[in-house]
Parts: sequence; C-alpha cells; structure tokens
Amino acid sequence: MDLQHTPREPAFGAGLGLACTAALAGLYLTFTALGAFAPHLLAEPVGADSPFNLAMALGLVVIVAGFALTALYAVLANRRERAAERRPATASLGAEGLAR
Amino acid sequence: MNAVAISCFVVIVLMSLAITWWAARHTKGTNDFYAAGGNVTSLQNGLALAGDALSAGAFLGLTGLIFARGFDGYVFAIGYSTGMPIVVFLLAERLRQLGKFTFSDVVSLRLDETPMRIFGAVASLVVIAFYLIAQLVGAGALIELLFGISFKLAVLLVGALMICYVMFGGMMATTWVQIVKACLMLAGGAVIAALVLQRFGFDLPALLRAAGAAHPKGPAALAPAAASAPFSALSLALALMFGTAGLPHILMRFFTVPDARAARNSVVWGTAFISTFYAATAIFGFGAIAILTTDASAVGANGQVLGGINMVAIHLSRIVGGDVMLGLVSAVAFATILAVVAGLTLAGASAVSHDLAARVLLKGRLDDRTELTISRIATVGLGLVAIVLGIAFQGQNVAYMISLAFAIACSSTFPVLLLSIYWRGLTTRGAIAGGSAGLVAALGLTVLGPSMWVKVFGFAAPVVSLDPPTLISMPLAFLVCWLVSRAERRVPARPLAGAA
Repeated sequence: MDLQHTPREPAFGAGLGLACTAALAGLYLTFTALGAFAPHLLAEPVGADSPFNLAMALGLVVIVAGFALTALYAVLANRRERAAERRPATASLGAEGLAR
Repeated sequence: MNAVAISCFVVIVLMSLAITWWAARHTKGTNDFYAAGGNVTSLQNGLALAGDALSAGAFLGLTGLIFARGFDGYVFAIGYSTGMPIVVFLLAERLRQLGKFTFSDVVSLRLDETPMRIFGAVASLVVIAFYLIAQLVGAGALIELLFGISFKLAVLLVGALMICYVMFGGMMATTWVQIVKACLMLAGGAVIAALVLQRFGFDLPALLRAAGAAHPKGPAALAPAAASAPFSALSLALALMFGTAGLPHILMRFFTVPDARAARNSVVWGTAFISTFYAATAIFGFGAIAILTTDASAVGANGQVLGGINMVAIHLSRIVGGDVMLGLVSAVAFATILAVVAGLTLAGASAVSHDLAARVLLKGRLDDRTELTISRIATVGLGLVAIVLGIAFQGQNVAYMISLAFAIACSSTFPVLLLSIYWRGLTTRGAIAGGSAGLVAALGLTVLGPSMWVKVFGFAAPVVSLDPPTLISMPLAFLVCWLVSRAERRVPARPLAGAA
C-alpha cells in the first residue's frame, strides 16, 4: 500500500501509529476480501446449530479491535510522553515532536 | 400524526436551540467560533466526537440497510467503526503537534499556500455537499412521516433550521449540541436494543434465527451474499476505513481540548461509544427484520417500508416502545441530524471564509468580524444548495449516500493530507495534481455510477458499476501525487520513496 511512502521522519511516535494502522487495516481488509471472494467460508456457523456464523464473529472482532488498538495507542503514547517530560528538555531531541 | 410524538419532538428541538443561543452569547472571536476556545474536557470531547461520527446515517441508514440487505448492510457498520481509529493513528497526533486544525492549514505549512487553500476548500465543499445531502434526505423523510407533510416542504424546513443553528452559534454551539445529542442517542439506542432483545427473551441467537426465518433471502441474509460484486466490496471497505480521515469536520474536533493527552483520552472515550453503537446496529437491523417484516403498520402491501427505507428504525421504535418511544427516537434522530449538519455547514463555511476569502481573495486583509460575516453568508449559500440537492436524492439510503462522501474524501483530501505529513518529497504541483485527479475521478465515477446515473438521472443501467469508485480513485490520487512530485524534482527524493 501507499504506506510504503513512509519516511524517515517524523521520527517520534509515527511508528506506533503506522503499526496500529497496519494491524487494523490488515484485519479489516482480510475480512472484506474473504467476504468478497470466498463468501461460503464466512457463512460457516461458529458452533453446531448456531445462527452465529464466521462473518458475524469476524465482523465483531474488527469492531472490537478498532477500539482495543485505539486504547492501546493512547496508553503507549501517554506513557512515552510522560517519560519524555521527565527527561531534561535539552537532552531529548526526539521528544520534541510529541511533547510540543 | 400523534400528539405524544410531536410534543416530545418539539421539546428536544427547542432545547437544542436554547443551547445554541446560550453558546452564541459566549462566542467572542474566530477561535471560539471554530474550536470552542480549546476548553472542553476529554469525556466531553469524546462524546462530541461520537456525536460527529454517529450521524443520522448510523441509526436510520444502517438499520434500513441491514433490514434490506441483511449482513451486506451490517458490513457498512463494521467499516464505519474502523474510521475513527485510523484518524487517531495517522493524523490526530501530528495535527496537534503542528497546531493546525483544518486541512488547508496543515498542507500550507510545507506547500505553496494559495493553490493548496483553493484545492482544500473545493475538495472539502464537494465532500460536505454529499454528506449534507445524505443528512437532509434522512431528516426530510423523518419530518414527512412524523408530521404528514410533503418531502419537499420537510427538506426546506430542516434546511432553514440548520442555517439558523449555525449562523448564531459556531463550533461552541455545535460542540455542546453534539454532547447533548450523543448522550440522548446512546441512551435511546440502549433502550431500543433492550426492548428488541426483550422480545426474544434476551436471547441473541433466537433473534438471529427469527431474522433468518423472516428475511426474503432466508438464513442466507446472515452471511455475505455470494457472487455480489467483489471489487465494489473492497472499494467500499477502503472508502469506509480511510474516508473519515478526509472529513473536514472531524479533524477540527481534536482542537477543542487543551492538550495532546486530553485529545488521546478523548478519542478512547469517543471510540468506545462509537464502536458500541455500531456493534449494536446488528440488534436494531436484524431485530427489524424479525419484527417489522410481517407488521402491516410498517410494511405496505407491496413490501415497501412506509415512509421509505430510512424509516425502518423509526417504525421499530414505535412497535417495541409505543408512541413515547416513537417521539423520543424521532426527536433524537432529528437532533442528531441537525447537529451533524451544523458541524458540516460550519466546516464548509470555514472553507469559504477562512481559506478562500481570508487568504486567497483578500490576502489576509480581513479582520475577524468580516471573516465571521462571510462565514455566515457562506452558511446560507451552502444550506440552499443542500436543500435543492436533498430533494433530488429523495428515497436513497442515508448510510449508503454517506459512503459516497467518504469515497470522495479518501480520494482527494486524505491522500494529500497523509503525504504532506509523512512524505517530504511531496511538492505543491504533485499535491494539486494528485488531489485533483482523485477528486475528479471519484466525483466523475460516482456521477456515472448507480447512485446518480440510475437513481437521480433515471437511466436504466450505470455506465460504471464499481460502487463506490475508491478502488480506482484513491490509488490514482496517491500515484499522481507521487509521479508529479518526482517528475518535478527530477531525482528521486530518497531510495525509500523509489521502492513504492
């Protein structure tokens, strides 16, 4: 994808965001591709005699993953920001981006 | 139509107007008008984010889509839920660091300001127009059903109310209206979901089985349809995932909180509300299949939903919760639409006043007051355009139409914004060429596609069947940005760029 354009900078904090994007996009596009090209696979029921099928289950996984990754991202970025604030301002070239 | 519903409705609308009026008295300069003075807490901002993202499309449109298409409608809800996380991962942090809150402010940092502002304003206005039309179509159908007036008159009334709303309040008003509305909508959604589940003894599998039995497609409605256009499905996925990031009114929302940490915390709140709501549309949608299909008060003899496909959620509320629920849900849906269109109109007005007039035409020789005046004139103009187009798009599904706005956003503003932040090699010519190519391709293919060529212009078959056109237009935008930028620089900016 076009994320290959990803540059050397911004050096600080960008990697985390890109990793989260790749994880969510990978999951969601895989789900969509399965539904588009192999719908019979997603129609499989999850348990015997259950109206829940793989499509429903994976769909919910995508929705939950979106939230879980957002929470993870916020926790990690907040932690990194606090760590950067504790360092002396002059010594932390890399932190300048995130701590403003 | 009925007294309980209408009085409930009037109370909510008056309440929103009172908030707007109150906020207007506290709006002092452009900073307050656009970004609520940077004074909103994380939870409040999270709710406002949910208010922005959960438009009428979320409730009216998605319930209708699932009712008609089964799981293929639920795919829209799943896709919409991925939009906000992507904005957070790719853009929110960087935009806050740059201290800019509109597309044009961000891209003007590195690129030539005047052409970028013109492009940004034009692209934003096209996206906003599609989004506005969708909301007005939903609101028009709602007022038509509730008050028994004609669709045209209903759209006209909603449009007029929306103009008043924005004219006097600005973002401060829309922020507060979004918060109130998000609370009402989440609460209303929870009650309906509980009432629907109660009918099936709180047994979700039983609900799904009943839906499978009632839908014309049978249990197959619970899975993706075989042999439906696979490339359109991928195209839709791209639009839903990356479209949110190109929407002008969402970006602004990250500047209404005081610092980066509050912005991050607010998106966690926002995503929690949004994800829960999108997940719950399965209960509304499949519940509606099970409950409405055989109900003569909701579905006419010809098998068509009374009041149109966007009214499925309203009928569902009435059947499970009686007149009180009907009034409450109609009012919340209406307030939702009003708040979302207010945010959109404001973003459109700011594109005209802040970008086109203040920077391009008058080259900065414009004081705060004149800018606000121009912004208000633009609001009226935008409102009128939306009313006319809203009438033309009568009867189309709201959630589906929003996906068209998303398709245009992720083919025009999103690629330029992303590259300008992450790729140093982007040049002004590259950005303009790529963004314009994406915009023209997305718009052109949409006009030739099923939504306009067939349903608005009345031709028998679409010229282009790919719907939405994202699969072509979005890579095209990135490719042209990259090619033109590289050609301009003659030499590759760096080895990494050459690898793509």
